[in-house]
Amino acid sequence: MNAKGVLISVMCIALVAMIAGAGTLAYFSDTETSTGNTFTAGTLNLKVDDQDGVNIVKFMVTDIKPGDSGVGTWKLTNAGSLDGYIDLENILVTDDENLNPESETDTTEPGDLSANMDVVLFWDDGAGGGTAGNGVQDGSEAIIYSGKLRNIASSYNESYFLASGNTTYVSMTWSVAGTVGNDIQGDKVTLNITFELAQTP
Amino acid sequence: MRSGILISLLVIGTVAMVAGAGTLAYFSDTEISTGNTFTAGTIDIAVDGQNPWKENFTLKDLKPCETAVIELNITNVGTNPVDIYKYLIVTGTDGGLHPESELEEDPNDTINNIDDYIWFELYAEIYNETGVWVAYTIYSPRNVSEINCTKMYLGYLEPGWYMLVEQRFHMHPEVTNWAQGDVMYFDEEIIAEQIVPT
Repeated sequence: MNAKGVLISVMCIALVAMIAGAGTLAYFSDTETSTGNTFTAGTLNLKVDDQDGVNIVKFMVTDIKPGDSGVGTWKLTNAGSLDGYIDLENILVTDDENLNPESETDTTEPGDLSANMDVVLFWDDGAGGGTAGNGVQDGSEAIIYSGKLRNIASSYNESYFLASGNTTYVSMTWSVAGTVGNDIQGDKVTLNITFELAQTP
Repeated sequence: MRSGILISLLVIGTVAMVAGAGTLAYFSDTEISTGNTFTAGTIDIAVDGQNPWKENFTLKDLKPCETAVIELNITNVGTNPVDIYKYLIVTGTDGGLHPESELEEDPNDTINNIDDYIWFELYAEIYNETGVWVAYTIYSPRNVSEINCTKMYLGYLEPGWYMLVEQRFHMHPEVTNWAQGDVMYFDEEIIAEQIVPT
């Protein structure tokens, strides 16, 4: 092939390419945009007695005598944006002989108060016609634990559902029977409890 | 093949670690309520500054018309108000000394019931923790045998309060020589009771 022939061939290829290119650009098209899509993590935030990150001391009961009784109520609020599930954890009961008056009949550590204190821990949520947060286990409010304080478990995986923005209550009634006698004089018991609001049951 | 197993194990281990990290990464929030305390009070009394009370009393040489006195200080050293009660318990009588002068009326020294011939009376004054008089209790004279084993209410004491108790033992004037040298043994029991809500 001579030089002229080569030139014509190259021009032909260029022309075909141009036609092909024009054809591609001419196809119909439409574009829509979806901008500003955001992913925001939700929040799980439990408040106890409307407080956040504060140790809520519910009981500081002194001078208990046989026949005495009382109740304490924790208000639990799901203040986050996510629904969650509540468990009770890190429950710890610590007995102490504390004062040992002459009249006490058992002065051997540990103290004897938790073994002689009857407690009922329950969801004071007003279920079944009960009244929420009144410190009384009424309606069909579910019992978490009922028995001597000493025998309470270290945790209760209740998986109690609490929707975002909602509030429920956990109450604990306590009583010391009139038959207990002098074993518990001056004794002291400490109770620790942790409420966990979790994303999953 | 050996290195193949090792690699497999490592891969499994890595997967397990990733899975574990995923589980722990779920959201949660915990709030604590620690240091809740329940403390029992105390009911405790001291008598004449002793706790436990270890005194004993000998009323010697009592004669008709004479009065012997036992005084007690009962203090509430507990943390609760209490009601105070007292028992006087006659544990026995015996002839004791048998002088010649007793022979005519009681030849074998078998008439020894002097508890029927001794009046017992009690007066208790109650004071608060600063020594201010609050109240008093009186039991008028009755024979010891009549109040024997009877629960006698002495009064109410707040913590720190105390009562001064005077017990008088008065031998009837008409007692004659049969009682000479006779002995009455008795225990005293003082009880502090918790105030039970009504």
